[in-house]
Amino acid sequence: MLRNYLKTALRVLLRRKFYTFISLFAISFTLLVVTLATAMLDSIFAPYPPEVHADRSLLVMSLRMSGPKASQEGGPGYGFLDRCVRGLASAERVSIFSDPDEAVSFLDGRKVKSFLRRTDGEYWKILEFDFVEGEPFTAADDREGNPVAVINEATRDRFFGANAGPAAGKSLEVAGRSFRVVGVVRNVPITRIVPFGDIWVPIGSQPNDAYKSDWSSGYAAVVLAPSRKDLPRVQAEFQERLKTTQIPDPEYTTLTSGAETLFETVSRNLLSARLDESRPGLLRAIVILVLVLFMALPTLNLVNLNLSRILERAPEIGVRKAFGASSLTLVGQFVVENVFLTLVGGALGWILSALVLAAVEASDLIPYAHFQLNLRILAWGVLTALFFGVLSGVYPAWRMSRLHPVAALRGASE
Amino acid sequence: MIRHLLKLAWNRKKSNVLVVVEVFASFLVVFVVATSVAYVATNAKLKLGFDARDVWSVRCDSGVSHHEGEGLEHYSEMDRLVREVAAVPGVERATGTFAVPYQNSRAVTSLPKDGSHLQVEFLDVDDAFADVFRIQLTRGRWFGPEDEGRSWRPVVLNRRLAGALFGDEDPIGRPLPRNEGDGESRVVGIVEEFRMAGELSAAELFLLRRIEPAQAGTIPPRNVTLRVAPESGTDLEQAILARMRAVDPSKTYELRRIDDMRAEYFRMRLAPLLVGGLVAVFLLMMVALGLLGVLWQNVTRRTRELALRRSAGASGADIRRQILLEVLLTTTPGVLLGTLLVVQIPMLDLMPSLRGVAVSIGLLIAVGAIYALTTVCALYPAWMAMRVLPAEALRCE
Repeated sequence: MLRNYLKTALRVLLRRKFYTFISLFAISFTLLVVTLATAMLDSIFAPYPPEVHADRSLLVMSLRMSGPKASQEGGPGYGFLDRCVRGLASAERVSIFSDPDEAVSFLDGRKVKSFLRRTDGEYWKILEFDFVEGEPFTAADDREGNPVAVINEATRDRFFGANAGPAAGKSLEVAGRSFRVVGVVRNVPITRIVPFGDIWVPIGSQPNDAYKSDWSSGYAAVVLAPSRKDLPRVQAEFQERLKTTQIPDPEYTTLTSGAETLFETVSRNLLSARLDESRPGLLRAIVILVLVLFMALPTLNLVNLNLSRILERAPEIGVRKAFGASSLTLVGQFVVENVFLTLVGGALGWILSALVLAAVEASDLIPYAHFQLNLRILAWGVLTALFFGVLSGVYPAWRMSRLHPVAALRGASE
Repeated sequence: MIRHLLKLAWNRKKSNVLVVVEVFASFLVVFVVATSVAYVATNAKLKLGFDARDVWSVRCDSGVSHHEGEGLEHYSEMDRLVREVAAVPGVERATGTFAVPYQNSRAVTSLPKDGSHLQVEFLDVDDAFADVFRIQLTRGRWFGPEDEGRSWRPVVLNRRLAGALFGDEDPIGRPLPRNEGDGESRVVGIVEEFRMAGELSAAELFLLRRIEPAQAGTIPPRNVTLRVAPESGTDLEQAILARMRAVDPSKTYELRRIDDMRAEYFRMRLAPLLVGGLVAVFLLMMVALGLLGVLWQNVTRRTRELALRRSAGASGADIRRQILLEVLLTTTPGVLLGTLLVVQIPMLDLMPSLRGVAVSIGLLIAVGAIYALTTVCALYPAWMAMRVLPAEALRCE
């Protein structure tokens, strides 16, 4: 039975090639955009290595210092993080690291820009980077301010050449100083906010100690809890610390910050006016709402198109009804036709999005980008296509089932 | 004919509502994108007021936050850095600046005028600034060593600010209106224009003030900005950075070419327009899809009516004209609604920096685009309607 439905479907769709083409175009384009958006969000928020412990870690990435006459907000500084985050009793490990800064090196007269990140020793224990050579620097290196560096493969190829052998032990010059390479890691995409970088050096290797007393901007911290259940305890202890810590600048009296997941931080920055409450539920709802609205327009248009397609076949439907076909059979046939069309459109959209993502990876638009069209995204895509297909087929099928055979045979479509 | 078609359209209002909504939404988006492009284009035509080719800037970061940077020794450190950089071969002139063009930073002050306040953008600069940025004055003179130790502060205005403060009178030598507690400033020169934000940004009232002598409680400039000989390469960059590090190793230095910053500024400004354009394209596609669907419905349902017209003597061209007119009637409500909404902006002066020219251009483009699209969409269904053979269609009765 299904084979007959499909054969009829194909013939019907080929009868009006132009409209079939534009339906397919609309479906595949919409699904292309939805798949791209999902892949993007996935590459930023989903837990991929080196963030293997994302489910039991929290980030401190924002700080607000406010007083009666002035307030300042932005990224936290090393001084604040050292005082308020480092000694948290309920945490298993804490790491403080800087934002990635662009640093310039001169190689044989060429100017090379790399993203330089300053981290402590704990960074390498919380994030599990894939070391192709050597090993990370340690907390002792940070304390002593040793000029050592971990670099990624792209940096190794850029500075020493792709086939020049191991880079461990060689030295490179960046931001005017010379560092000795102790380890080489695999490239991490720029969409991974915490681990991304080209060159990592110890925080203590800076030319002066001014950062230690700076409370505003440039750094962030990641807190690893012993287990998922301990996360609320860590957050509570952190909030307690904020209330009781003395602020060095007498102009400010209150500290506002949060230890939370990346998604919560983004929702706080985008949606919360007061920076003391993250709203992940609201952000998730907004994202889903936007996606649904985005898909609603093509769906409604397709409903119209499908209505025309089916009412054009009024005489055929009248004949079948007169011969005793039940409404259910006809509705079933039509829904199968529609789902078939939508799945073809969905497959096209899937192929197109794979091509587009491959093109983005090949170009240098997003450094070290690596998009995975994994099973999760595939499942979402198929579900969306099915949803699309059924939704845009239901109303026309219902209209068609109400056709009176006599009127239909005569050619009327009411 | 029109009244008859209106009646037909009203009878089918349910299927037309979706098209009207889509036309309205895409009209708004196309209008916003077209107006933004027009706005940026009209800004780009104005004079910039300075020449930043072959100008580089080095940011000197001592790693200390705002408060700890105050102190007279920091001023002399910066002065020394500027002098040393100027001495590097290949550097023509150097100056210490608080900000550089093409960055998103604005310093605004308010000057009292006729009972209210004027918001004025300002920048504190030193005597070498005009040479580094090749600033041409139309009246008066730039700052110089003769201004050292004066009791009043010399300032240079752009022509727009001079007009706003002094009208047609000669502004040279006049004191600026000042707030309570401010020192006295006097105008020594006028420039035609100075648009520090960049070519694509709106023109402002601009005030250039001579840097105050080193005072406790203020911070010195953070950037050493310099003009180099044309075609200078990375070896000069290295030489400059090496000299600065030798003079003061406690700071970190970041050298950027203003040309690169300009390219970044253009990218940042034009990227939202690109995104807006993509959204507009998507919405226009939806309009096309919706229209095609609705028109197909119309034609298949009304084969007998169209066939009747043909047999009564209407030509194929008449039928086509009817379909096209119906399409225009369907899109016009959306366009009218959109126009009504959009016309409020210049009428109520909702966005003062947006000039009438940009809005009119945007409106014209949006209206033109929608009508062009809908006409193209009507072609295929109109052709389908033309091909209805009266004998075939009227036979089924």
